[in-house]
Order: sequence, then structure tokens, then C-alpha cells
Amino acid sequence: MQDKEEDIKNIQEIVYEEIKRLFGNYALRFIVESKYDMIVLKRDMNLYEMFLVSKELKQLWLTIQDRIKQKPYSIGLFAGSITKRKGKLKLKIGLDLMEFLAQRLRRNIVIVNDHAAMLFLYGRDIMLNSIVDILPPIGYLTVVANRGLEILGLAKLLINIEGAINKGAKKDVIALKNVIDKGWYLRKGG
Amino acid sequence: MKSIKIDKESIELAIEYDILPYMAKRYIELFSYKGAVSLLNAFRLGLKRGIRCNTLKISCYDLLNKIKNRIIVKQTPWVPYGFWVLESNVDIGATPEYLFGYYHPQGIASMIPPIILNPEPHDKVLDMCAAPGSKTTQLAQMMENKGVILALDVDRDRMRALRSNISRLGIHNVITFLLDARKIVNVGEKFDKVLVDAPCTGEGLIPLMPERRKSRTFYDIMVLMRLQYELLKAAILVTKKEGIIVYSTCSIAPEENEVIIDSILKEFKGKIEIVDISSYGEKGFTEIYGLRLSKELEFCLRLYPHIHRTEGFFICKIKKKI
Repeated sequence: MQDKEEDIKNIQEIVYEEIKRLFGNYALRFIVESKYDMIVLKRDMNLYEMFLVSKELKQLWLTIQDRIKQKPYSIGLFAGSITKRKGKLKLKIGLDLMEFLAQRLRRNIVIVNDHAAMLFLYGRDIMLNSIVDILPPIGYLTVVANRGLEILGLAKLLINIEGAINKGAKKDVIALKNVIDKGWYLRKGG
Repeated sequence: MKSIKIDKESIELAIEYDILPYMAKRYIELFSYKGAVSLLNAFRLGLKRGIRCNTLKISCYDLLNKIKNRIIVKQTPWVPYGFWVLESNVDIGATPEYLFGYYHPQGIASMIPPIILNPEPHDKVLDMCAAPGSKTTQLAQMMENKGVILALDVDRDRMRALRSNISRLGIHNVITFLLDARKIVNVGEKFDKVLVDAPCTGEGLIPLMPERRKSRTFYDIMVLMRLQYELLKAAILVTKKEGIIVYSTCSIAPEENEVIIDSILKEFKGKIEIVDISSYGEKGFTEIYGLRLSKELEFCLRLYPHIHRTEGFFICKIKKKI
């Protein structure tokens, strides 16, 4: 499957914009300074996968790609996927990339209590009263961690957490919707 | 195909231990009757499972502290971050620490081939039969997530497991392909270190998987021997001068081990040599079934359930001289 240079650049741009949105400009500088690059692999007409790779890994791929006559099954760190539907692109940022950035930058993390942490690993959502701390800024998609800052997965923000806590909102509302959690490794990981 | 004559003693032993007669005959020939019985008793007893602490994510001290109330472990003599599970009141493949990638359930003997290969952080490493990735991720751990590992396998389902393990354990330096590793010679790339953990009958895993007592026949060995030989030959061809190849199987059958290495030594005469690693366990066979093999084969390593309390394993370290 031939990948158009223009499509690849466009997809890279979309992912970098999303990283900026979730972790701030500093995240992009961190990626560049850490000498990571992004590789986009077209899987079929409507699916692309993105990977963050070291210079050495990218070099090996560039050297062998013409001779090996197939695309990698995986390479480096999974950054996410993009699906094309009715001309629209839908980005799903990968847990591996989110964990990588959140742990190094200490941003965009919601910390939950032990009970909620355990339930989250079984695919459950997070209630507002389970949140014990946040490491701002919190994006629309955030990393969920336990008290030991161990990453549990990703969740979508349903309410403005900071605002809700300050205004003394009802505590038994669902604040975060589970997108992916590490229980996935048992349920579907293979 | 020539049939194998099985004596009465072998048949009786096979019936008693519920294994195939050809296996009983081979075990008696290789280890004497007493040794064969000891091995077969160890098959029945089963083995303690192992875990590998993933030092890319946590120190072993912190891991042991976290799990101490649920999993009791004992350090192995061979691998500083490898532990036997003595007792566990949980499924070791389903704890939060497993999900966080702090450890990987892995047989103790299967941790040794990467230790023998000993990759450095900036090496270019080839793992020829990589899925589901226990050894690949251990290699990455030893390389501190630096350098590159090219990991190949032909089994699509197992590749999914490889990718999942790479993700869970936080590995960044691996590129994987769904590819028959024998084709790597066409890619024109040379590697510092190559691991050939060859597909095998898995006789060494019988203590963990009793169904293997009868699931593999002598015909399977014959078919696998060709594949094992071709994989090792490809490995040698794509290794740099002065580079290292480690050949391993979880089989104790000499046909899948010493016989393969002996043939390779003949084909690459003067170009490769066996590096002595036998101090880790038992020496390789230099004579089997009355057939003399290269003296160098005693430098290879054998591990047995009844002697070392590990899976049965064969490991050979080969240096490419030119």
C-alpha cells in the first residue's frame, strides 16, 4: 500500500497538534529534544497507525523497508490510530504515548482513590468523589493514575473537574468516562 | 521411514509414566534407566513458575515489597532479576503489578538465552522467533530500551501477544515483522547479536504442560530439525564478524540441539566457534546413540527439571569468527 507523503505529513501534524492540546507546547519540545520521530503506517484504505520512534529505529526501518517488502507489525512506541470515515478523520491517541508523556511531564493526570483505581482497571468510570488530586492542565482526554502515580488508563472528561471541586458540585456524578484501561491487557491483549 | 525398535524396558517405562515409547527409549539411552526415571518423576512433579522483574519500570526491591503479601518469591542463581514463585494466593498473570508491567511471568530457563547473548545498549539485535516476546522484552530490558531489536515471527496470533507485551512492559526499541525469519538473509542487514530460540517439540516444558507427553511424535522432530537448521544457518549469515549467535530450544532431544549444532559446525567449518557456557548447568552431548559429534558441543549448556528445577532447555553460544 503506497503512502502519500502529503497524507503522512497531514496525519503527523494532527497528532502533534493533539499532543500540544493535551500537554502543552512543552510536550512537543520534549519529543524533539528526546530525538523521537513519528512514523505513520497505512494499514488499509481507512486506517493509519502512528508510532513514536528513536532515530536508530527509524534508521533501521528506512534502510530495510524496500528489501523487506512489508510494513512493520509494530515499531517503537504506539502513538495512536486514525480512522477515515465519510471523508472525516478520527484520531485515537494511544495509551502508550499518553503514559510516556504524562509520566515524564507530570501533567494532565487525574489521581483517584484505591477503590476507584481498582474498579477503573475493570473498565468502570470515575466518580467525582473518587478524585483525590489532579496534575494540571487537564485535557478533554486525561491520564488516570492511582495514589502511587501508577498509570491506570485514559478517560474522557465529562465535567470541568477543577470547577466542580471548587463550586462544591454533587460528588456522586460521573466525572471521567473510561476510554481504555490497563485491564485491556487481560481482556484483549492476547 | 525407518521404524524405531523399542525394547520391553522402554515400553514398560512409557506405560508407567504415560509417555510415548520412543521418548522412554531415548531417555534411557541418554540418561541411563535411573536418570530417565528421575527425569520422568520430575515431569510429574511439575515446576515452580518464574517471574522476571522489569527493571525498566521498577526496581526489584520495590516490586518484591509491593507483592510480598500475595506472592512469595525466591531469587534464582542465574538471573539477578529472575525469581521463582514459591507461593501465591493470586493469579500471577492478573495482578495490578502485572498490568503495570512491573514483572513478566517467564520460565527461569527461558531467561538464560538473553543472559548468554548479553546485548549492550547500542547493539543491533535480531530475535528470529520472537513471539510472544518473553525473551524479546528481556533483551530490551538488558539494552535499557536503547539500540534496536528486529523481532520476527510467523504466527499472527502470537504476534498480537508480542505487541501487547511490548506495550505493557514499556518497551520502545523493538521493530516487529510478521515474517519467516529464514527470509532475513534477503534483507541484507547485519546484526551484532542474534537470538534463535527455535520452534521445537517442547519436551522440556512437559512439567508445565503435561499434554506434551504425547502430543509430539518422532516425525515432528524430523520436520522441526530442518527448520531449526535453516533458521540457525540464516542467523549465522546475517551476523557481523565477531558477532554472537545464541541458539536455544525448550527441548531436551539431542536431534533438535547437538545434532543441529554439529551439522552447522561442519557447514561453517573454521568460520564459527562454540563459546563455553557449560558452567551454568550440564554439558552438551558429544556422543549420542553411538554417534560421535564434535568435541566442541560439550561447551553447550543443558538444563533439566530433575537437576536444575527448571524447564528442560538447551542453549549454545556461537561466535562468528569471519
